[in-house]
Amino acid sequence: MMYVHPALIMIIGALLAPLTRGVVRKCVLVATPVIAFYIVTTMYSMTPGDYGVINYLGFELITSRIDKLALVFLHVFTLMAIIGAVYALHVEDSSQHTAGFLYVAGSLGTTLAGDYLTLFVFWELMAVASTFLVWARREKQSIAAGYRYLLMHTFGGLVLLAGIFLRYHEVGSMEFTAMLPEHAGVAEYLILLGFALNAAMVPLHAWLPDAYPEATVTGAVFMCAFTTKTAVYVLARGFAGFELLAIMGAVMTLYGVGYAVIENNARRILAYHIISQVGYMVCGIGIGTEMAVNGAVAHAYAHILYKALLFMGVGAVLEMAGTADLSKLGGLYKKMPVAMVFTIIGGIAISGFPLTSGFVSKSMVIAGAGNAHEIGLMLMLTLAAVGTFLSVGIKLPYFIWFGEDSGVEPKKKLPWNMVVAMGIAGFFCIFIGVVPGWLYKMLPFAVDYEPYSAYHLSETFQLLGFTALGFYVLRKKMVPKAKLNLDLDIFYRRALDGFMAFARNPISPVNEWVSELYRVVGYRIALGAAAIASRFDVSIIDGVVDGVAHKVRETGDYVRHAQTGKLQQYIAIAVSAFFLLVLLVANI
Amino acid sequence: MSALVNLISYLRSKPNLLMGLFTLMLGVFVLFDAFATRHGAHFAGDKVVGFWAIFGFGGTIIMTKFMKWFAHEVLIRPLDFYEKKEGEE
Amino acid sequence: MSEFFALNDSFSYPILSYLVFLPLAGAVVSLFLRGDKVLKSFAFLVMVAEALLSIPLYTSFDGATAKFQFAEFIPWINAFDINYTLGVDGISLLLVMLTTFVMPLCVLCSWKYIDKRINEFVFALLVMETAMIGVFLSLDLILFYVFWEAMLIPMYLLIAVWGGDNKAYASLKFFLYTLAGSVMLLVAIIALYFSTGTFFVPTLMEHGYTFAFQFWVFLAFALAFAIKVPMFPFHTWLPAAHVEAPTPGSVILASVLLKMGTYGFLRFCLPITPTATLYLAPILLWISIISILYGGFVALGQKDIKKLVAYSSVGHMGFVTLGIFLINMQGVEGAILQMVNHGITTGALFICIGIIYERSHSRLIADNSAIGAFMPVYVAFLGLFSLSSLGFPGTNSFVGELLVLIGAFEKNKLIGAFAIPGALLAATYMLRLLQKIIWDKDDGHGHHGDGVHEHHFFDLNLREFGTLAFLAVFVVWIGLAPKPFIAKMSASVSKVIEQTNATEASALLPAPGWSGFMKAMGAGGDHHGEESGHGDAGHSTEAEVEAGGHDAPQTHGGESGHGESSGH
Repeated sequence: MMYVHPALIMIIGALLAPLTRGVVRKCVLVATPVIAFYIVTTMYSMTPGDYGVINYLGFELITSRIDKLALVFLHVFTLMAIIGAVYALHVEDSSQHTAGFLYVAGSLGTTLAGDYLTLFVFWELMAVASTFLVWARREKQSIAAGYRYLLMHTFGGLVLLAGIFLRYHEVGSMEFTAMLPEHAGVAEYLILLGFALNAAMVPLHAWLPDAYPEATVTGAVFMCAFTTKTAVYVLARGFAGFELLAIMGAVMTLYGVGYAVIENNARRILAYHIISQVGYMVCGIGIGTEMAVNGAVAHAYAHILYKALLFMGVGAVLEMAGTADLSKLGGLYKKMPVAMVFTIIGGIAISGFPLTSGFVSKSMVIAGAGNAHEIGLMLMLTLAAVGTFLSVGIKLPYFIWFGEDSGVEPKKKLPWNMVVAMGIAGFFCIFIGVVPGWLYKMLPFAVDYEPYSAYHLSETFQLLGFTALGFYVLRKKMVPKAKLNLDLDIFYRRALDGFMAFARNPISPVNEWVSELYRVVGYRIALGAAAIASRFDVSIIDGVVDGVAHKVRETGDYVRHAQTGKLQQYIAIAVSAFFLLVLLVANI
Repeated sequence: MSALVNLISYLRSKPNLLMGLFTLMLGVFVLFDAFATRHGAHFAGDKVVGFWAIFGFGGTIIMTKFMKWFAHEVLIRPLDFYEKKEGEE
Repeated sequence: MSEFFALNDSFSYPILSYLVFLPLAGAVVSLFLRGDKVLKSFAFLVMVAEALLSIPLYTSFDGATAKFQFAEFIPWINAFDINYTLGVDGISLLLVMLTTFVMPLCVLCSWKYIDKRINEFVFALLVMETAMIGVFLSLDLILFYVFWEAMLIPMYLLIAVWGGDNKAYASLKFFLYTLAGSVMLLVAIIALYFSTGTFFVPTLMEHGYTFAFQFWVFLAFALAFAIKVPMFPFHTWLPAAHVEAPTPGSVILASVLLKMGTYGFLRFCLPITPTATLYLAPILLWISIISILYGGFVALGQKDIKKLVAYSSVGHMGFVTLGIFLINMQGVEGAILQMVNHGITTGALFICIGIIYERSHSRLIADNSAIGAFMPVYVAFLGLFSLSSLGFPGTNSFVGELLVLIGAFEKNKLIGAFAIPGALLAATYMLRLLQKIIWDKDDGHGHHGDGVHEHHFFDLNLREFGTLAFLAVFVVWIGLAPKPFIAKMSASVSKVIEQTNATEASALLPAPGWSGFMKAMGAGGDHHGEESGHGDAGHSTEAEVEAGGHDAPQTHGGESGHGESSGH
């Protein structure tokens, strides 16, 4: 049977979506990811190896490198694409569908890439396509957030490109393989930086809570799944065992959860939470043992599904009730029970309740840390789990569905497709918890872990139960207020202002000065040379242009202002940050 | 669905019942822990009965208090903080 | 003579002369025609014929040899050894193809746009085509110069007659800037003549010169070409010209005229003055970087779409000059490919701008926003060309930029690192433009400037669609399958690099530092002494040079440094 790259299917679907209408379009929207998913399942019967090798400009591009690690990610990505497509079936704006599918295509292509050049191409596709998902919301802050998002990601992409070039220069090959910490030099760290930005590793994380709450309801569902998890995949492939990742990952888990505890907007809570959960994955990769990496991958799989479920539920609230701010919501359990059920399923899954996917995946990472005798990391991760349950398992549902009745009324009924999508995701959250072997089979290494041990159950019960107690005790303190919390993005936003004030003054005058030079110097020569000019004029143009010389003398004001839009601010910081990077690079 | 809604409404109207059930459950958990066998304990705390209960409760309290304090001292700003800043330039 | 030419007898007729003079013949014929539609159709047909004529040139071109093919040589003015000689090699082939294929599109996009003096317009366009093709094919410096100058007047007219409100200012600025450069060009040409006694380019390439002589000749050439490219800081004529020029004018300007500058660098500066090139390359590399970053940065703040694209051209051509002065295979190949790519993409962008200008009669972004709802097909094309302009993978510019960047990293990692933010800038201003045109300003909803109504923004008609589709095909074709295009130029590129890096050339390089430089220039700033060549590896032709040369009286001081001064 002929092998077709699943990204190609997604691209075709993306192009077909705007060209079709009504029922036909809906069929296209569902069929595309289903076909892609099917292709992935057939890949399991193929022998692992490199396929689809293309020769381009003298480089050997490996478009499809198939092995267990890639396959498990492809599996969940395409499954998620189906869920996302179903969830978005009701959306009329076809640009969202196109952007979403192209985004998925980028993710699939990156996962299958066997060489850095292919990876880079699809990486950029992901960045551009997802920017459009943010812009598609068309609100003022969405447009601005989209620019910042685009800038960060393009910057990250270029850091990645610089690293790729340097590496090619040193090693002579574009092949994307695992790197050893001992051999990592500037090139490898640049590539790591590029990957880290997409994985929203602290301190390069600020774009995530900035942009995700501003995306469209359906767009956010797509976005939460792909960018970060694709980055997790490439980190797992290339940088397993780098101790830096283990530490940064643990830091991420606490950082994300900390902010989630104090945030007000439901989607922003979930966004910070992504940082936290990705922290588990990054930490597992950093530890590098088979169990830890297995855990990271399993966690990625489970996380995509329950995070999507949460975004879908909260998205439903946003769509139906018009707001996602916890301070404005409450008491919705009567009016939106279906959404509530699914959000709660997502919430307990993420918290790691027994019989849910979180229980069998997150604990594997923690156990991996323990087995590797990283007690400090293990405790940090467990603390983060406490915070997870607190913020997303209790606080989020409590203040939306229970708590004080805010009087918010849903304006319309929940569309059937959203319910179906949530149902699928919810099903898997439970299924994986009940039959963990199904997931474990797909993991890259053989699994030697039994989640349902008495001790583990006991530990989980205690943690969850007493966290709930803690919430109860502090519940008055936890009431969300409508305030903005600063994060690291203040640094780049602030610095831009300073830089702009500086740059605006020298730069545009320089441009004008150079133009002035023409007038002052060149014009005099022109007058002197006017004889030549007018001879040409008179003999050839003769009546075609009236009074050119006259008009020249009359020429008025040359002043032009370099108009600066806000964009220059953002650019300026990216450029200057890059220059700083260059100073490091220059010392090789 | 409406059965569920009714159940929840019922429970919310009986806070004492809810609290009682909850406390009972917590007690069961700690007791359970006393009987659960520990394989491959990783560190001292693992062996203590009820360790994770304290960890959970304590962790929640500390985390919440700390983040609230930190937010209040360092992080909190009015909602239009960035717009005001950008408007100034 | 013939040792420079490769024998290629695919054609029984002198194809190059035909290519050069067909448009001119058409221009003469057009003088006798009347009627706007007739004239435009005639011009279109002539140009299409020209394009068709050039296809066999492309297919019969032998990519294996670096010698000039299909060469013609007819003695013209024997007294000065000025000959009518044409020839094509890998470097000029693609540029000729670009010209012949873009010109018919120019006529198409001017169909509605140009509404007065059609006769003169058609005449000017056809004469320009002759001049441009002549520039790329000439192998005699005087012939080259004639064609170079011949292109000035019609372009000036294009802006001055059919241009926008400020056309007088812009057209004169364009004319004077380019003329200033042309004067320097003439100076260099004449200096070379007096040094070697010939205007025949291949001989001039083979000839060796002292460092000092090369230095001044290079500077003269470089000034002329740098203005044309345009390189910072000689670029300010470009935004003015683009803004005031009519759409076909902008298209020609961006697609072909700018390439004449970079072509000049490749054809003349590198092989004829290799030592000076090697010596000054670092400076030119940094000026290229400045052009890239500066052009990008200023483009970001523009409110006028045409100005934005004009500044982006400065940035893109910066990549081209960067590639050229890297003097390695990837760099130069990337540069030539980028010349073609820029021609296609920026030409397409200007056509796109022209299309919405015809609807809204404004070039301001504000007046052309949020049209995504009414013109989806147009927006799709605009999106494709914008992606190409920023070098998105899969498009033609990605290949060119990739090659240049690889070449840059090979040579000097710092240069490569500085070039990369240029790509970042390009992404930002293009995507910003795209976002505003498709949706709108900060709140994403459609507004328009006063007096612009929705129903004016109708989508593309067949003519516009055809024009853009044709270009779009090449954007994707070159992006996905660039090999055939690169294959044609490889041999010639190798030869140029070889000529520039030749041991004789690098042997003449002065010692580092100011004193080394001054020594090579002829000790202590005295330009008219006889002692140049001291300490430099001798060259047999230098004796020739010292004995035979005298300065042409009108040269600007100091490009000699050899021989005895005359009449001082």
